[in-house]
Amino acid sequence: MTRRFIGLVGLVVSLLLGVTFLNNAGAHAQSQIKTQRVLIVYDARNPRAGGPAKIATLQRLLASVGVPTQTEALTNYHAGQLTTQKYQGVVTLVDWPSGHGHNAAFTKDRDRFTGRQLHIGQNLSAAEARHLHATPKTRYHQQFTLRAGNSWQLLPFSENLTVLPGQADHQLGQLRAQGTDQTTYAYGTVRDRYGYLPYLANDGLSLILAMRTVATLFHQTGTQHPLLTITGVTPYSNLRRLRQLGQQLAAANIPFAVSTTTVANNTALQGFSDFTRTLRAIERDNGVIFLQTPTVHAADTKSGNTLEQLMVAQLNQLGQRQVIPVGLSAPAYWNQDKLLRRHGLQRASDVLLLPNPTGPVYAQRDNLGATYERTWFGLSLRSLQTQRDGQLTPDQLALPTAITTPMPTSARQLTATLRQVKALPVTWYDPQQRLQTSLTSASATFAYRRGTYLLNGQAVTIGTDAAGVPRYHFTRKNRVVLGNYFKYQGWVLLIFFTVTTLVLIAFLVVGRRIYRRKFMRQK
Amino acid sequence: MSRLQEFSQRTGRRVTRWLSPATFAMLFAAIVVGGLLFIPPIHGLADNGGFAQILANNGLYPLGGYQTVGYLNPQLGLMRYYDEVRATGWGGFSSQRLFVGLAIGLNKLFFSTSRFDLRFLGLVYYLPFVGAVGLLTRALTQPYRRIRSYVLAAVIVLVFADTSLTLAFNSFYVTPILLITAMTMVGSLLLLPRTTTYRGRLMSLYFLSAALLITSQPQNATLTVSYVIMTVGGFFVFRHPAQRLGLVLGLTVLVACGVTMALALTPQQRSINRYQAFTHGVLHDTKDPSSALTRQGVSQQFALMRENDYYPVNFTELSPDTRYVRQHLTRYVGAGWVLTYYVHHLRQLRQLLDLAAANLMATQVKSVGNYPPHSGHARGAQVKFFTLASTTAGAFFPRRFAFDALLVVALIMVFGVGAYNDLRQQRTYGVVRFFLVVGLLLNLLLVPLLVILTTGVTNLAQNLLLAPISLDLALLILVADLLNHRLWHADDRQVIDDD
Repeated sequence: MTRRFIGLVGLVVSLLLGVTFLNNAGAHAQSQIKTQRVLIVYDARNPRAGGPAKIATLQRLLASVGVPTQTEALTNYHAGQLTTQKYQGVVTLVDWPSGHGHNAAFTKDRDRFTGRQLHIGQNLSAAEARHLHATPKTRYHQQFTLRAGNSWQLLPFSENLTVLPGQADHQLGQLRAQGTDQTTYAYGTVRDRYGYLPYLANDGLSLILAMRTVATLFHQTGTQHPLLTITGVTPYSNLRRLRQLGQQLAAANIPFAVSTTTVANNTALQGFSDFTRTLRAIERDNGVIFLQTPTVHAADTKSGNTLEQLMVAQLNQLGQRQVIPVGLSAPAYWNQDKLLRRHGLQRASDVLLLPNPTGPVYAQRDNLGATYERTWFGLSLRSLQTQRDGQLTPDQLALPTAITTPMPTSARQLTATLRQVKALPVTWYDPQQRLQTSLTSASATFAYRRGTYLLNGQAVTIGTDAAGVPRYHFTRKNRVVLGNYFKYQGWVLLIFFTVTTLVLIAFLVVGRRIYRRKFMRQK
Repeated sequence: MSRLQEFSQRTGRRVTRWLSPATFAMLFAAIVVGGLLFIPPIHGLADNGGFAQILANNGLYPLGGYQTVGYLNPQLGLMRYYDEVRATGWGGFSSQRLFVGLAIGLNKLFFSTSRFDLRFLGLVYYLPFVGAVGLLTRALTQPYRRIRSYVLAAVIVLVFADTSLTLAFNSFYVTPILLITAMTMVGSLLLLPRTTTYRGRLMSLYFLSAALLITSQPQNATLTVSYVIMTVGGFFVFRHPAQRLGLVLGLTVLVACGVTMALALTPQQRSINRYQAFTHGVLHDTKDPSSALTRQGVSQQFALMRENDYYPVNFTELSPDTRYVRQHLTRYVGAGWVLTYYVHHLRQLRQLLDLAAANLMATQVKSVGNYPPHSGHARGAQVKFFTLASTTAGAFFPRRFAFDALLVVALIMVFGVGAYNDLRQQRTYGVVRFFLVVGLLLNLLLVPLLVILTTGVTNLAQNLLLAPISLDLALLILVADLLNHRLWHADDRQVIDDD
């Protein structure tokens, strides 16, 4: 009996131990994905060929996959960096193939590196080609058509492109040259832990396939519907038009998100209550709100507190009026900046990364991309709808994607936007069914649980009017002794001066008369 | 005892023979200001964020480690090649370019062709400033050399060589030009009726200074009116038709300068002015201006921009320099719109004028630092040396615009009596002085009003500067003429021309 009991206990203990151990191992692998960085090495920024935008797109893709990144120029790479086991992967981005950027240490280390590898652009090394089991070919001065399923897109004329032959199971998208040569090549190629893309575009079908290539390389095989997102909303936007847009989307049963900035000051003014009223109406129309981070005008390493206070004030002012943002949206560079990340983005579980503006202003750039629970990739609706150059149904995407369209600035644009959205044969991501988010400001926690808004854990009812806004008395009157005197001081002085002047003039006249009379008599 | 008295009298006489009040004032000012500007660590005014275009226009560029707001940059880079940022044509023209150009020339001659030392610019302002102090003192004290003349000279230096005014010499603000030219204009006009030999030269100096002042910044275009009024006195001095034709010509040039400056306003400067006149003026009210905005055709949402700057210090929800703001806000809110708004909200206008009046005499720019980095001073530290006049005036001058208006009326009456008496006795001094003072006092009233209409109540210490300078000059004329007993009528003693 005792022996059986001991055996049973032993079995349970060993099972428990085993499970824990296995769990640990799994967690370890998971944490490796989450903590070990992917090194992005680019040969040149090459702004003339849109290099910085490509780097930002790549950073955003990897953030959406859920891997932290570190970006560095080829010349800054130092020997042994990759082989010290710090990185889970490396991406080689060739922006300027004729620039002959070369770093022998990097090439050597990359060959010995055991993590995942992705090569984008030309100058594919022999070792990389061998790992991909393919012989690269270079095509000069040709125009290609890119196809995937029913979608296709005519690509712009390319000077030279290094392509790999198609490999049924390992290929994503198909490139075919225009003209007589009807050979097809692969767009994305993934083989074990090696991947290759002949080029990287910032939008369109190429990007959607690049997204899938990167996701496949990092073992993310799921698919997602895209989230329709209205960007560029500010408190100064035409609120009636925003309201109409929300109503019409709700009427067409299209769930959507709005990315808006807000103000932290002057919130007692009528304009702010109207703005938040419109946002509440959006929330009631099945729209979710992403708070767009402010435009950075000037910042340095000391701006952290200012940003922190600003973000908290903005969130609290919105929260007090039952506008509960589900996440933050920001230009991609915010995720490459230590200060902007720490005091801006890291309070949110959901971050929507948008393309960079021209001339981004960094506060403390470190080129270390972080990850969030969900990082949405902002992809413009317009880039998917080049009528002439192809058709595209972005229905099943590999990564969390927000398809963005700017806030219409005229009634005509509003109609056009609605028509475009309704015409797209896409099942849109419905936050009410899937989305669970959280966002913390200094004193409050905002959360969204499949259609329910929570403020500090308590469900919030969203009405037409804001409930529980503290009333501030900005026009409080100060009662001051002599207050009335100061009020009329100007008038008192004016009367005093006038009277004095009149008296003086009278004296002058009288004195003159007396003086003259004196002389008259003497005559 | 009597020997001691005799000795002191003799010494006094010797001193007054060799040292005129004007020379005394020049020496005093030269030592005080020179020490402030040139002896390391140098002092000056830091960039408030608006230097970038001025630097580019003058072929300069910020070197690595360039500081804004907190610290002064003692050195800048000199551009070697053509730069596309440099404004061409009339857009952004300023007479400041002449001074900066001269400073760059000197710098290249004596220091370096790749680096610009800020002190060369300080020097270019310093020399004419000392001259202007001399001219003004001479105009206010001559022909006397009494103790009171020296006291007056000291007061002139105390007021005009005040650190709050002279710090700007080591900077790219236009305020030094305003100071120097205003002093020169008053000095030359006051000397004009009391001399016989230098009249042509004095009048030319006046016109040159007025032209430099008007062309220093676009905001001064409207002030042409004041300077035209000042010039009227000249017609009483010059009687010959040819001379009067010269005066008319000079006036035409001044008006042309004013018109040019009004046109030289770049679209960007216009946007900045309109935006700040809106956010720092129209919206500067304790009540909610929303409904008033809607009534005047601007979305009430823009009320949320209250107190925003065109160049935000750090973050902004919507950059003012965007198409959206241009199309929906700055396109509408021109000076006419703002004026209409204030006509309907006179109480607010009065509050703003009072705010301007309260800041009138506080001439020290508090928002930017005065020291270079690594000088052992905190960020944004302010110089306290030689600021007695500005701090006293800032603290004790009444803070109501109504007071300023009353003061103007009272002073015009006082100087009007002198002008009337002199006109009857065929003397010119009182008449010239009257028109001069009217012009100065018009500045005192016009500058705050213009600032509110065109740029809003922001950066008042700098934008209003011409008003306190004008008032100081008018009051000094009053005090000087009281001491010299020529307030109510000109005296018979002319300036000794070879003095």
